[in-house]
Amino acid sequence: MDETIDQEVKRLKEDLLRRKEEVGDLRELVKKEIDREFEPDPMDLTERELEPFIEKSLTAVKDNLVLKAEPQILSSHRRFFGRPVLYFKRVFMNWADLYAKMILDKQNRYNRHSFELLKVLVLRSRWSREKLKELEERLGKCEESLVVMIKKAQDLQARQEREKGSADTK
Amino acid sequence: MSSQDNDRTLRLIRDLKSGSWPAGSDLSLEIEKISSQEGLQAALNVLLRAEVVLGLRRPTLAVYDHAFHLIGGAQKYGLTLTSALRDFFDITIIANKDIRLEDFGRWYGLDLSGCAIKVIKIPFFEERGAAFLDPAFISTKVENPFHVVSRESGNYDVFVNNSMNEMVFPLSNISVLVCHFPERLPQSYFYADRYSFVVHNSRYTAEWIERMWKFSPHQHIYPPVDLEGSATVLPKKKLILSVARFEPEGTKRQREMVEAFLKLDRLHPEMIRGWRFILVGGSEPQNRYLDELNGLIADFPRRNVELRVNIPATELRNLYREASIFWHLCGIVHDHPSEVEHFGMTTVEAMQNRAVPIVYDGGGLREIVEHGVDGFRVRTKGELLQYSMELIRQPELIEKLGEAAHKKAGDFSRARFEERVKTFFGRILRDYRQL
Repeated sequence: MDETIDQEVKRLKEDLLRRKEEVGDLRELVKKEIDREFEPDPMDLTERELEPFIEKSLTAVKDNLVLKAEPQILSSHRRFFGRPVLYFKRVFMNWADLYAKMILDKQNRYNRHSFELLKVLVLRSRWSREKLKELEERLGKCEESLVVMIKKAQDLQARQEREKGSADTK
Repeated sequence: MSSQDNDRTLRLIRDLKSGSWPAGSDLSLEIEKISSQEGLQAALNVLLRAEVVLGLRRPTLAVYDHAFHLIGGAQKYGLTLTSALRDFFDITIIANKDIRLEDFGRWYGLDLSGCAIKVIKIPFFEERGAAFLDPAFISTKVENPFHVVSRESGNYDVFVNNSMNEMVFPLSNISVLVCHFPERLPQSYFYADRYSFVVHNSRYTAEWIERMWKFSPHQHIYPPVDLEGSATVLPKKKLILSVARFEPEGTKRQREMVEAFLKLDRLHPEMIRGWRFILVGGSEPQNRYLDELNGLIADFPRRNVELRVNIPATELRNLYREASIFWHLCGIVHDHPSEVEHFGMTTVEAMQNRAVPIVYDGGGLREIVEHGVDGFRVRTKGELLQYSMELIRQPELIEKLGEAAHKKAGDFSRARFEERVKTFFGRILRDYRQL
């Protein structure tokens, strides 16, 4: 070996640094995926994050409120029996659709009621929060005044006692 | 890197160190093998560590903060850490906006001579003319703009990320994230758990790291506070002081404090005759919250409440020396844990100058003030007034608690901070060198 270990380490490092410049993607540099998907647990949300979460969730629920049976395209790969098979399939589907529609109608009514209830509960929680905040503020103000007035009364009492004491000594 | 790969790397460096590198073996082949299996960065990391182990150069450390160009407590933390480690490492300070070492010296009074500065501008924010590089703007819809810093991190032995920005993926052999508070839940480009060590500034921060990020941080180092008054104790004046930034959102709760003082003045003026309340803080030129505060005190006839904005350090130091009582209510109203003081540096500054702190009973302030021993912790404005009046009535209590506060503040001095930093990084470096 012509070069010492020190020189070789240095040379290899410089070579790697040069090659690193040419690599655009960080994942390629470490030969692995570095990003992950995170689904926040609603139970971890703070009070500030609750309102946007409620809004987002209500919109998502509203978007999927009405369920509809998806129309299916019927086809058959059979050469001779295809048409009769399709005919029977269609008859069966029409019959089944009647029941599916009944169930879906029921489900949709339930969804609508649940959604309305959810909205009202959100509304109530907002009002309650507002009222609570207002009460807290009023209570806080009363407490402040009370604390100061008690101290003032104590000071007055002490002054009176002092004055009384000095009058007695006279 | 798997433990088996790690063993192979260690063996390779050990062989190099002991001089027992097998004759005929080709180092470049070994390095190439690591590069093809684990990536180019892993191979580079082997050589970086080998250089330090073989004593070919001093270890290198980079300290990064995306807000180094702005004055702040977190930035002071990172730069004091840097200053303390100059004897251990060759240090590079990485910033995202133009900044000079002299600026740091002027802002924080720190000696950073010998450190290099590297400015890596981030095109995403430059194009938008943003003065503050807010990671909250970044979603997975755009390529992670902080990856330019991630790439740079791999060129040092140790990389310290001091910023509230978990979007930098660490590539160095050793990486340290200094977490001042976990502001965001894990979401797009979250890499906080990819660091070798996470340092936290208070137990409050540690608690929220566990709750929001679901892992425990490794090392607790309180921030450095160095506003110690003169050795001779000056007589205190009838002054209540508050020091906090005038945040436009009002999160430092100056309005609540002004309201409390005005109420005391209105209901029991004899009690606070001769007392003044001064609120000091930094502010941007246009600040609606500050205007609101000015409006609140303008109508008040006695003129014993003052706002002092962006005052020089010497003036602040004098006010600390003169103040008898220090108020800090940050957190008394909040809907996010980040709105509560994570630590409370100004409270410690006041305590170092023998002012008795009356602070909100929450967050990092609980770790600083022991109720009834070196100050008071309160949950409401009513309690704030109650304890303030007790102090105003009993000057001897101010003296007693002020002395206890001064003693307690020693726990958070710059000397203690540097001691903790050196112990922690010294241990890391020893392990790094010793294989």
